[in-house]
Amino acid sequence: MSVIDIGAAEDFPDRTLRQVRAAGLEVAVCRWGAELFAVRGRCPHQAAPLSEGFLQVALSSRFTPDGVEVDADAAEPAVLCPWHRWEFSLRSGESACPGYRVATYPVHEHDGRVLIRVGRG
Amino acid sequence: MSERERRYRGPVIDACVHHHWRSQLEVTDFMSAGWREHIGVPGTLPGGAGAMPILPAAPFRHPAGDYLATAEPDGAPAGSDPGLLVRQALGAGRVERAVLSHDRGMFIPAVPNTHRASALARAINDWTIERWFAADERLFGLVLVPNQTPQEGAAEVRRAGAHERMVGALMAANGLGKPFGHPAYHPIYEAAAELDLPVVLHPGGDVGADTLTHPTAGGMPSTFGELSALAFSPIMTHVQSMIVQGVFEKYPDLRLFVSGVGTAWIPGLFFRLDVNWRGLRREVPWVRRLPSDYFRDHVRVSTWPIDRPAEPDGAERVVKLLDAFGDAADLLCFASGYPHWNTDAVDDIAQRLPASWHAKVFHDNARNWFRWPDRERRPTSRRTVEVGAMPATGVSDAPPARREYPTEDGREIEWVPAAD
Repeated sequence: MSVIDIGAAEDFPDRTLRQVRAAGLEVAVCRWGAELFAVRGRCPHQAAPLSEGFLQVALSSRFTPDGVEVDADAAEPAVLCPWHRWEFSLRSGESACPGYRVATYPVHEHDGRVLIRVGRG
Repeated sequence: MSERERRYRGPVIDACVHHHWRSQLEVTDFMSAGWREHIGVPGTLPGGAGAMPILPAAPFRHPAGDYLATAEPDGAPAGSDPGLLVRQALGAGRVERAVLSHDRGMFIPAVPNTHRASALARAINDWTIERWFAADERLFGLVLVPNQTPQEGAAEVRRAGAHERMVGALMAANGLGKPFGHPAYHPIYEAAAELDLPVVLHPGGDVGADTLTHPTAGGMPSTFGELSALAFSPIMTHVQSMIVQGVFEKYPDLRLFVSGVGTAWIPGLFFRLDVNWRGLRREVPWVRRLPSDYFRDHVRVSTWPIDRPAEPDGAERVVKLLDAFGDAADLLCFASGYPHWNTDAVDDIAQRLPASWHAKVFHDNARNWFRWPDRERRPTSRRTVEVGAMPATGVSDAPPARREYPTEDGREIEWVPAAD
């Protein structure tokens, strides 16, 4: 496990995706309110750069006796791949598409720096 | 595989034979005195007038006859003589059950007089029960659903569908001119799921001059041949609509049977729909799984009319096509389509399909799909997974399908397949 300094806190503005390179990996990093998220920066479909994708929030839906309800969860950001709009949760890396997810990495802020942990251990 | 190995000698369920009335008086006999007066009696006025014809016009007819010549021996409508139908469709003794699926009578729910359409549908269901079920114990029926008025349609599914030999609910006529996933039709699906009856789609429901929809996509065809070749096109619309509008999420027990449009349309539809859904999921957050997953779990399809490529290896081509979709042996149910001009025979279909498919296609799949009298109605279940929640996924072991090409100036171009 390596802890890598990927930049100053002010380099990561709120609700903005940034692609960084850490330990040879491309990582998409996003500040979302009080939280920081980091996922593998390449879509597992055809390796499009996810940092150029579209930030959205999770959508869910249910049928009720009165019709369809659609809910947006502002606490759960998702990125849509810029090429084919496949969707990945920034928190879990999960996709709605069976067989696909992106890796997630622990990321936090310390003394004005953003630190990411990559690798095993 | 040798010809001998491709014979099938086991029991057969025929998932679609068409029955009809000899005269519309057979149907109006099941109506009240008021409705009989309203419709009238043919020939009681000068010039043969006296009754409103109950059947909508059928503008496309096969130029050499819509039916097997042997099915109309005395000029009576094909499929109108229960004894003859039993002899011809069940005669060899191998068919242990046959599903009566209506002929042009299936257009009735779309006739413009809504109240008459509902009254006729009720009478026709009683006619099927009284006249046809009594003729042979191997005959079973589908509730003709007056879907122009979905609440009345649902009530009729609950009324006629309570009969133990009604094994499904027929949605052929497109009474409201909407794709069948439209919420207006949902009360019918709720009733069908409640009674454990599969909903049956059959082409022709968009043919009648009274419907607002076209029987082929893109406009009205000019000829019967065009209509026949593209009969699957409205069915594709309906199946896609039911999946995308969340019908199977809303009614997780609902089963669908697609009758009368062959099978070759299946792979192409889902090749596209599946991959498009991956990028368009946010448009339909209630569609939680791959569209083809819903199809595999909720839909079965009749072999009739089997797709017949003209090449000598045509049968193998169709099997390869179905293999490209996968698990076709679990999806198909034999149907003869009797007495239509393109009626399929058991021996011919057995020749065309792998022997390993036979038991499922000729018997087991239909046995498990329709609600037969010897099976208790299954209670409807409640959904246990939140609709729209992301399903559990695994990490793909496959490397990204990235395609990169160096250019003369050293830049890398990443290529995106246009159809993806």
